[in-house]
Amino acid sequence: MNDKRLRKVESPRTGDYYYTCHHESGLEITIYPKTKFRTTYAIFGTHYGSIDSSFKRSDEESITNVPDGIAHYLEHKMFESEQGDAFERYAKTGANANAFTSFDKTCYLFSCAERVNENLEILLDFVQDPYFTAETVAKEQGIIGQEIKMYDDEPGWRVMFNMLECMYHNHPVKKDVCGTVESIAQITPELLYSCYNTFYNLNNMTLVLAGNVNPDEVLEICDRVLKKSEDVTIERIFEEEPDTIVKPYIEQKFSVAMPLFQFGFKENVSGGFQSEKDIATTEILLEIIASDASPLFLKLYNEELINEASFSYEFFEGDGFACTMFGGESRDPKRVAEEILREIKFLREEGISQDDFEVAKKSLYGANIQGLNSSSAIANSIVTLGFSGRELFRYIDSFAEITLEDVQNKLDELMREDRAVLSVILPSEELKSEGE
Amino acid sequence: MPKIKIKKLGENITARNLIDPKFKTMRISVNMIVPLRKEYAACNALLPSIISRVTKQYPDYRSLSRYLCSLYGASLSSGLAKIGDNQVLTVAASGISNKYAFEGEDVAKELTNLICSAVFDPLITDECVFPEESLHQERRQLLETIDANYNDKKSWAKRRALDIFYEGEPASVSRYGTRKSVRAVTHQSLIDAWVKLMRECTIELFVSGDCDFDAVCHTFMSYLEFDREPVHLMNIIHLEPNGLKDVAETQDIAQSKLVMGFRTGVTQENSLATKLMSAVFGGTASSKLFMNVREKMSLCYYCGSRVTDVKGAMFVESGVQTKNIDAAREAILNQLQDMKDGKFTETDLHYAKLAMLNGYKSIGDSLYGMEVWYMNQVFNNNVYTPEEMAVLVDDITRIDVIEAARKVQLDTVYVLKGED
Repeated sequence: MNDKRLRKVESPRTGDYYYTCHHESGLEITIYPKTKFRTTYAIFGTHYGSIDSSFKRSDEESITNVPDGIAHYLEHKMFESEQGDAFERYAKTGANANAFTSFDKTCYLFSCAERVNENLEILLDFVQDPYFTAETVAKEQGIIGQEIKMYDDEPGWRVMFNMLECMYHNHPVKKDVCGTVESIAQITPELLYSCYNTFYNLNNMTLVLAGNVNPDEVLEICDRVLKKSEDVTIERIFEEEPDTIVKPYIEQKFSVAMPLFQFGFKENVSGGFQSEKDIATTEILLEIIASDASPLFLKLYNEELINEASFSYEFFEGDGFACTMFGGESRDPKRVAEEILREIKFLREEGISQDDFEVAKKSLYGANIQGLNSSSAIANSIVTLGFSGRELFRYIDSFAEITLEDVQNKLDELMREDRAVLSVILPSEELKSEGE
Repeated sequence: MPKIKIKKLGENITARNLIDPKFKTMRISVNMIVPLRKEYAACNALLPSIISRVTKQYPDYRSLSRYLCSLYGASLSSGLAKIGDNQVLTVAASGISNKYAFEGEDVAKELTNLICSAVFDPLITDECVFPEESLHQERRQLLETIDANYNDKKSWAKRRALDIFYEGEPASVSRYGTRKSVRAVTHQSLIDAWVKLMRECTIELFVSGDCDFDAVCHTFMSYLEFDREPVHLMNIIHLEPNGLKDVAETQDIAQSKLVMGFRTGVTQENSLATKLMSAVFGGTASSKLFMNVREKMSLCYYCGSRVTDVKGAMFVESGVQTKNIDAAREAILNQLQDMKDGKFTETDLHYAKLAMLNGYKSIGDSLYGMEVWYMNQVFNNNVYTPEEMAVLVDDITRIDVIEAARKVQLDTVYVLKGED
């Protein structure tokens, strides 16, 4: 590499490496070469999602409040400009382009087998070029209204948000990423510009490319296309959130054949920054408790309370929220929740065995190595970790450093019974026998 | 990508070498293909998960799970698919490549032995049947999978549309069997199905990622010592519809689903122009369906077309507001008529080609993607690599696309209607 601004970060453990650069424009750039691969996957993302509906800029006195769902709405509108549609520009190169909005980030991405540089220019250009008019904003309400309806029909989506609503009194993580038909009706071009100008500041954004890509050429394009952003910092305002939950149980009737559940624990976020090692420790803990090699899984499975296809567990966290959760299909979600609580209590009192710990550690190490096969998995991990101030190789390496004691200590902190919420989706009617 | 190497391991048993050391993992998949028949579908559907949940060496679920976890999170998984009028039963093993195993384990060798023993020498009790627990649990899980299919409205609507579209053809039989037939499976019927499967199936073995192809084949050969009478795989294509089937069902949902099934009028080996036509029509984010029916007319949240080349079919799936169902249906058919009338530009065609080429050129970066690619050509005499296919796509002309569009005829309209 010739460009001195590029810093090489290596992982002896995996044999991989990448380059990073804090660009003069304010943008954080990561380039992860995988030269034997044909494709390149790129993400241009902003640390801005559905929870950022109240904020204060460092160059302004007052707090701005915006309608729910605006980050997602903005994502849709970014594809339009005075010159036309970004999809049409990508069509000229054949790239596969998309975008998504989550609780705490909005990402624009493409994957391509050829013409990476051209695609990168399109990506950087359209995301830096907002164009909103009253007419174009009004037009989107129909499509997003339908997207909201589509999610209303997804029991997996509903069971999750119902759980979050019971867990959080005030934090906006409990609100649907897309907002509601009523909230998006309040969105105006002025509000979109206000959010855009605040959160699409390059100092709040990141660019990651993984795949068959030349780092020097990437920087050359960035130098040419990126417009330097003013150094504005953003304070995200969240109402005070109590440690307690709202209520421990919620159910909803739905047109499903089999009940679904999400059982989660509201975790403290007052402890401050969670390092790579903290996250990895929690993941090992969850693996010990509930992987398909665990006694809990076996018990639930043998008693026909869960199935392999749907049972899952996850640590889910972001600005001002964190929860550990278990979910899936079950004919008796309450029993599943009881068994999970019993197992946690047992492990807390009796201790985790060294052997179980080692097996879980090895399994997660393998999963991380597998993740490095895919450019899209790499780029997504780097973005997600990066917005929380974490680094991919440190995260992978931390699995080797973690001890049983770390995990046992983590178990003492997490998954308190009085912070548990069970959300259940029940069939709305006796299912008619079908297809006999 | 060079032409892939093929090794014949036995009668209708083919191993395909997809080795590529750029991957950090390896994968072996055994795909057993048999004609889809109502009477065997349920037993066959149970077999892959039954034989991969315990093995002779790891005779209970937990010991096998634990072994796989300690092998760096390796997996022994099962799958079911349908290709044309046939059922595909898959057992696959995957794990990290040996060089990342920090205690020097030979992951590839362990997994080769594991999958061979699971598939060709499964755990059978003294009564010559599969373990009671295996049948019981896998039957329950299969019934729950059938239920879960109902929970996901998009896939449920597609499933119902396929039932109607393929009515009277083997392809209409669910790859899972029906609830009733799954419940009716007995120890005896299951073991009989396994014996029949081993004798009659066509096997496609894929070895991919970072491992030693010959070593894997060598181990497989040592297991392939049983009598074989492979049956001929059937795949019938109806080139034209037999009248229009128009079905609407209601459910308590917020967004209605509209699925339209078309007969393309061509067999798989002549389907490339049809696929390109479908790409222009509804296969990309710059397609006519996306740009017009979704973006300009705001009629659907999603609206796209896809060709099932093996069966000479094309499906358009969309999510629509109940009040817009008729308008969306009309708009979709108008866009198809435009394709037939040549109302699309050279640019539209060029963009669709680029998108298809991008897809083809990306396939080699995914182990799973490559398996799907070659599995889908299992009935063809000429098997193409994605690179070769890319060259063929580039040669297709505008006239070819118009002709392909003119052969397409509507067969089925299925609506899953929300209650307003």
